[in-house]
Amino acid sequence: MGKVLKKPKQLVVLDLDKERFRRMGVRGAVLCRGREEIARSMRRAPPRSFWVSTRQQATDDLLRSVQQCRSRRGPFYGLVTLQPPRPNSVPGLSSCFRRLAGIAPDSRLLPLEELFDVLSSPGSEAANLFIAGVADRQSQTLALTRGNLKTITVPFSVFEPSGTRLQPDFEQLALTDYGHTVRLGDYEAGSDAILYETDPEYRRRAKKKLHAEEKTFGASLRRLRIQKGLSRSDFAPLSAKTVARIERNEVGKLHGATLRTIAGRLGVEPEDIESY
Amino acid sequence: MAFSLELPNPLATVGWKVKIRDKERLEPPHVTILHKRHDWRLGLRDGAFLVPPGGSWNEIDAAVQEVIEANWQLLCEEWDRAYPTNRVHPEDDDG
Repeated sequence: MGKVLKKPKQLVVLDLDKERFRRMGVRGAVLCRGREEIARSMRRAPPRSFWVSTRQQATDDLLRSVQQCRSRRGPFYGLVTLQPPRPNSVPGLSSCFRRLAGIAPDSRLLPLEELFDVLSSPGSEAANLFIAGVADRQSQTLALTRGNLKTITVPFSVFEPSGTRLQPDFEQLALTDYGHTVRLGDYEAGSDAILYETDPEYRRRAKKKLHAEEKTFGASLRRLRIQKGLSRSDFAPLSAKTVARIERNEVGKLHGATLRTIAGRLGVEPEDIESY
Repeated sequence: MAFSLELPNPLATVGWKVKIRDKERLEPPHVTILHKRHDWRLGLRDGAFLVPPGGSWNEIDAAVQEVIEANWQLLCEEWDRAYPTNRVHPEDDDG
């Protein structure tokens, strides 16, 4: 079977100051201002394009431009609005974009530079970072949007106080650290911790990666060393630092003498280490 | 409040951060090293990079490594303070 090629992804930014856009230096991003440029970009953009509208007026222009692009075969991938769109424009936007983010009035987004960086990053990376969120006190849930614009709903109860007894403040929601951290007042939660707890697919991928790593020589050596009650400094003439590098798989193929030193100290045959 | 290790300039200004947040994946104890879109989880029990995301010191500014190593005890104490039921060295509790 042939290799599956990733479809191109493009970021289109609406109505941002040219100089600011240039300073950000976002790879492969297109800036367009005004209805004419928006319409032109709409005709050229691939289906897998992410659009970012910085103002409500630009979002309206975008919707109007759809009329000129009726020949398009389907919706674009996603739209992020820095200013929430008019409520009456949301159904129209939903028909033009498969995914929307930032449309709730109380939405919070990553700082602009971080947002652009995440949106233009490879999909597998972006999916693990949060770009937007909104807290709904009524339902006691937090809706968090990932860099691939898929949203997960997380109950407030997931954010239990840590040992410092600090309580999360859901009125003070913010996204930070390029989407690695969800801030709730002074309380901070790691995105990976949230995803691990709430997304079975994320958990499955994490475990798969862990199992793959566990099969390496370094991981086997670490397990066997700990099992034998040895420290990394017990492998003279090898230094503890060298043993640590071997355990982290930072060293290529080991010399025969090195391997024999390690195996001898562990009391096993060299070829048996990987089986632990 | 999340613990953030103080990093000297220019490490902080170019975006390096070392944190123990109020909600982390609990097992095993670790600090999270952040640099823009990238992150690493460094285990506090054995100094190994946790998978996922994995990684190695080769990917991290040597000065960040120095600051972490110089503050290892503090990082362990901060983890224990935030997660008293999953301490870095639980055997210390026995005696």
